[in-house]
Amino acid sequence: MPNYYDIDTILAEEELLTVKPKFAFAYLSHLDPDTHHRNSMMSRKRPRADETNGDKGSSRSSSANHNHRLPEGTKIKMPLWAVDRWAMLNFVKIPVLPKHYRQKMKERLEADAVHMNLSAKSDHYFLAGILITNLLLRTVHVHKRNASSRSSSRAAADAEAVAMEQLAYDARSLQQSLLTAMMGDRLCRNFDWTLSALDAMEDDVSDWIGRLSVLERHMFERGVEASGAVKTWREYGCSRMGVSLAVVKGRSMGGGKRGSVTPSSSGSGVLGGGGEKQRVVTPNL
Amino acid sequence: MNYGSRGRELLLDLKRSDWLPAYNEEGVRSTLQEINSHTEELTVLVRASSNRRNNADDGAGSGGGDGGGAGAGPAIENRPSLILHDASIRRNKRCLLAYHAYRIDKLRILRWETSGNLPSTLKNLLSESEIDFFHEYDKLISRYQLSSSGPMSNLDLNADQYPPEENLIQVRVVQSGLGSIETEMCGTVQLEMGSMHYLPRQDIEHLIRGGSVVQLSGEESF
Repeated sequence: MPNYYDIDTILAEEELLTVKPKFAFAYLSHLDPDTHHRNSMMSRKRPRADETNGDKGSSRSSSANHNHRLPEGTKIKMPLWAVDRWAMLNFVKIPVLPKHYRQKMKERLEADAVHMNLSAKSDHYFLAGILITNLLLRTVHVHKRNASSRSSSRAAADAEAVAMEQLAYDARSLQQSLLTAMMGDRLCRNFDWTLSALDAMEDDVSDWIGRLSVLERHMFERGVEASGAVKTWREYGCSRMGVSLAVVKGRSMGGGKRGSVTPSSSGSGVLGGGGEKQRVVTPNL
Repeated sequence: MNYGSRGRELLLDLKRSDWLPAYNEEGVRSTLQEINSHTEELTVLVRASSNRRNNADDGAGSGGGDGGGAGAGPAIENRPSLILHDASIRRNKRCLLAYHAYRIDKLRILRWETSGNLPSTLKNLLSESEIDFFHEYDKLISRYQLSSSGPMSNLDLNADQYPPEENLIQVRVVQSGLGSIETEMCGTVQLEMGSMHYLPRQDIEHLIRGGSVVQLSGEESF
């Protein structure tokens, strides 16, 4: 399960998904600019009926206007995190997947995954894909569980069931495509490039890195760290101590002003074994 | 109205930096404001919905209102907007928590890498609370180290984890203003910029990790 605090997962949930409301959504016409414009024009012509009976609500917010309905069947694009609950409650239909997860893209990945520029499609291509398949499969599962309790006509129920089957098929097919793309030749090529990354004279890896999604970039960075660690170990063994990575990165960001090290308030100067020994560093006056 | 955009900007700020960006107090404040505005919207909508239901109940007698039914909650057409506002509040909350958790994790790692010495270049990037956290975390580890007994009592938790190959190491000083250092074996040593020394590993470890001195291998010496 994705970590609640994981930043990449949070950003991957920003992926937009096209949905259609199954009934009119009140107060949400602003999600579709055309509908919102139409409703605004209509409400300017009609006298305002204040639904809140003179409460302060209507003057505080434009969305409290009763006319601002998002009609049934309007196509809107919403991020995954916003659509999740609506899908679970069967408020929306999901007619299509995002363009870069459809059949054409799957075929391209199948043909040549290595040279595809996935970061141009979506920075979090794999993560967002996993979240979308997760959402679709959960939607189908919830729908099947609640199917018997719904009192819709037989024809509507059949149409709904067919739509859910199609959704489940799309989800499984996408899952398979993502797995094949991530774990196949692309992964091998990614790790091959990590061996060359440290030697800037030999190979320029910037073109390769530019094509990677965030997940692949993390794998690449771990691979480069591992290559560097092996190289350092071969040269110096275990005897060499390195500078803290945070200090190096922080220096490059913090304006390069080299102040003196601030000693901590307690205990870091204590040596093991037989009493306290302080390491004294006195600044130059 | 923004739905979860402020929280997203905070996280993008984190992703753009190498280590940590400066603490974005303005971003945190505007995210909290967005949460408050969604909460107000939610309250207004719930109140409007319950007023409408009450009016419908009064008008129609004991029959159901506009689709919701007496006591069945808001009308079905109102529920998506309520859910969206709730989702936005949770989204922004998650972004804020993730933002702070990420920064705190980095500070914990920094403490272990620098043995509790907070470089002043990095201090500028932190908020007051984060600096306090760093020092308190350092005190916690030090207290633990001092309170440990038996075979653990001689263990220096700040020492390098790899077994050393030699007791004395060669170093070059790369930062000015370090002053002097007292060592058990070599007495007082002046750490002038560019000077090279042959010092006990355990006394100079923390300065190597802090980037003030650089360890040399045998070939790089005088």
